[in-house]
Amino acid sequence: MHWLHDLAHTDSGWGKLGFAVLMVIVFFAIIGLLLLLVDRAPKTGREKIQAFLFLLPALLLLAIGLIGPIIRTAVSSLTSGEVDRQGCVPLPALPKRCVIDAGGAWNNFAHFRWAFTDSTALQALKDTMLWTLIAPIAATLIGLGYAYAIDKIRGEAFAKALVFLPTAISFVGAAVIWGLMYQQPSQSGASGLINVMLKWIGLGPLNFPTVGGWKLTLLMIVVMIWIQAGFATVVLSAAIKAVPAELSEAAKIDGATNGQAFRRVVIPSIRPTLIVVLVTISVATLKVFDLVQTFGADRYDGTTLANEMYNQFLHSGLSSGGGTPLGEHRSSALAMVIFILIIPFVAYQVRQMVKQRAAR
Amino acid sequence: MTTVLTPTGGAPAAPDPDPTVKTLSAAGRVRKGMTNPVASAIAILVGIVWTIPTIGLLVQSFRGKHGQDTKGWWTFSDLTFSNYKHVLSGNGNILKNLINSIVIVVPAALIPIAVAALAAYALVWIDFPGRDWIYVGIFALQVVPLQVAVVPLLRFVVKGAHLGSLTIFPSTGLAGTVGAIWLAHACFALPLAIFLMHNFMSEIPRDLMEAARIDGASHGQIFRQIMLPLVRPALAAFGIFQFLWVWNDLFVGIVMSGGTPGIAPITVAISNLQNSTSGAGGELLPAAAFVSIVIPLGVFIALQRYFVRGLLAGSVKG
Repeated sequence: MHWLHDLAHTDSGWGKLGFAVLMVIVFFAIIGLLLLLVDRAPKTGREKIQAFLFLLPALLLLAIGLIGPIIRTAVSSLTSGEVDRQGCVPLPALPKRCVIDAGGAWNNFAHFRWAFTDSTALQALKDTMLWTLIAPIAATLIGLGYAYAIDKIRGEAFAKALVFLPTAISFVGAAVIWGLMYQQPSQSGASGLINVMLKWIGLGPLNFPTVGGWKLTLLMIVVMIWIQAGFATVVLSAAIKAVPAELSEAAKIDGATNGQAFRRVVIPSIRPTLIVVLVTISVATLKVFDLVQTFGADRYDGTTLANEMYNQFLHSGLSSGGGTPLGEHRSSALAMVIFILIIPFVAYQVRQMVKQRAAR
Repeated sequence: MTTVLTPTGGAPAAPDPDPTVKTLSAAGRVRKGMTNPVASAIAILVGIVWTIPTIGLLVQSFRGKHGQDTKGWWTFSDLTFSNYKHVLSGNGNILKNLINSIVIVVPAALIPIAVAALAAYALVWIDFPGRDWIYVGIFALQVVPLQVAVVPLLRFVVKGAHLGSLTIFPSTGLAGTVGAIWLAHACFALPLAIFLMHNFMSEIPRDLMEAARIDGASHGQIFRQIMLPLVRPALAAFGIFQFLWVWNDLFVGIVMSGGTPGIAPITVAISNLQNSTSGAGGELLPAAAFVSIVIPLGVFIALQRYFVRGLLAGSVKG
């Protein structure tokens, strides 16, 4: 298998492509084999065995990639960084070894206490709150207004596409795009469009990203809104179209203005969709990492929980060697904080799905 | 965006993604007349504001260092192809990372599609005890943010799984290869993928399945010959979604490729470039970024119909 190892670690482009093609072939060969096995299942308990075989790859991947890691992160966020024999439950066969020793002993929420007292971690928590308060609501409102404004005008599909396009652009690409927009005036004369316009109206230059703090966070939130508004527009536009036209017309015949018809008729009719959009963008915002990392904003006091979690992970040295186990435990604690903040939003989504299934 | 994508595409309840209104009722015409001028002005304004940043990057990517340093992109001064030449062959080369992204994205989209289709088939069409519980459990796993899962998965890839000192699973040998990134994306995509496939497969008429069973077809045959062709739109919708997700991802890529720059996807390379933008080669950044943007944008524009249909059906229904 030496050649396989070499191929997996190769540095040449063709080698990597070859490795990918080979692995995809191997993967589908395994799936094919699995389907053959399904058809050869023994007669007794046949359905159960077949169901198990169909589910096997998914359950295996979920155990490795999600269920195991959740347990591991939860344990690691609650145990000390140093291996501590106090937490050792000895193995019967090998008394010197422990069943649970990888993370050390229970440490009375020390990492969580750190997360809620350390100045950087607190900053991350506050900034994440700011993100989550502003970005989802602003993106949804813009999407709603735009969807309503372009409803049934000529060139609607094109107008929608313009705003929807950023959805396909990565956060990293968006950070480069907006880094250019925000570029601070340099001595050689270059300046971003925003600063040129600020100068027109007589305002001082905006130093991005060195302004730092909540101002920097607000500037990054603008980018988030730019990305998410398209999603809100497309989904809400479809919901607006599903509202029977007779409803708002009846209201208008009774003397309601356009604005009143919108507030009293359209909004209540699309309320469920509005909430879905808000929840979806909120979940994405709580996890925001790429933008902050690409702007390098944490150097100027504009960070988020997900970004701080990554910084702590770097201290652990898990991928690069070196480092201390403390970093991994603290990054686990921050990940758990994100997890806990997300649960209410997703619980709402799950409840909606259950309702929907019951209605069917 | 996760839980919204539900391609029950053909459902009559789902409105057309981009309806070109040809026939207007009398009342509709009244309304149109009332909203038109203001609406058009707003639409044009927002449309321009939303597009300018991207156009700025495109123009900037074709300008030389001198032009970039002295004037704004809207002057269109100092136009040149040299940035792209450098980015694709010379110094500041990101071709390697571009290939990495391609090598990462194809298996990372194919693997979860196949695995999820198999699982969803069992969850919809095979009767076994605990079926609904397993489905709800998998659905609930969508709660888990990547931040919780990715570090332990990296530990598993590097060191294997241990319970105390017992080795349950040896070190995988995937450490430092693209295999680690495939594994991560495949695992994390599964709850959503299974949810989508489940929705889609449960709308296939029961009679069809029963007829096939009576004719003596096995589950393996039904899956291959009946189910897969029927759910092709769902496979496509999820495939596009996962393609865009993996291509645009930074977090999983940066963690799982950490310490091995040779396998880093293009997003990681550009993020690093932007981070050190004051250094030499800053003028190449716009071109590099545009190279990374252009592929998902092309896929997105070409296949938007599938993507939007999937996006809509779920959220509008709910």
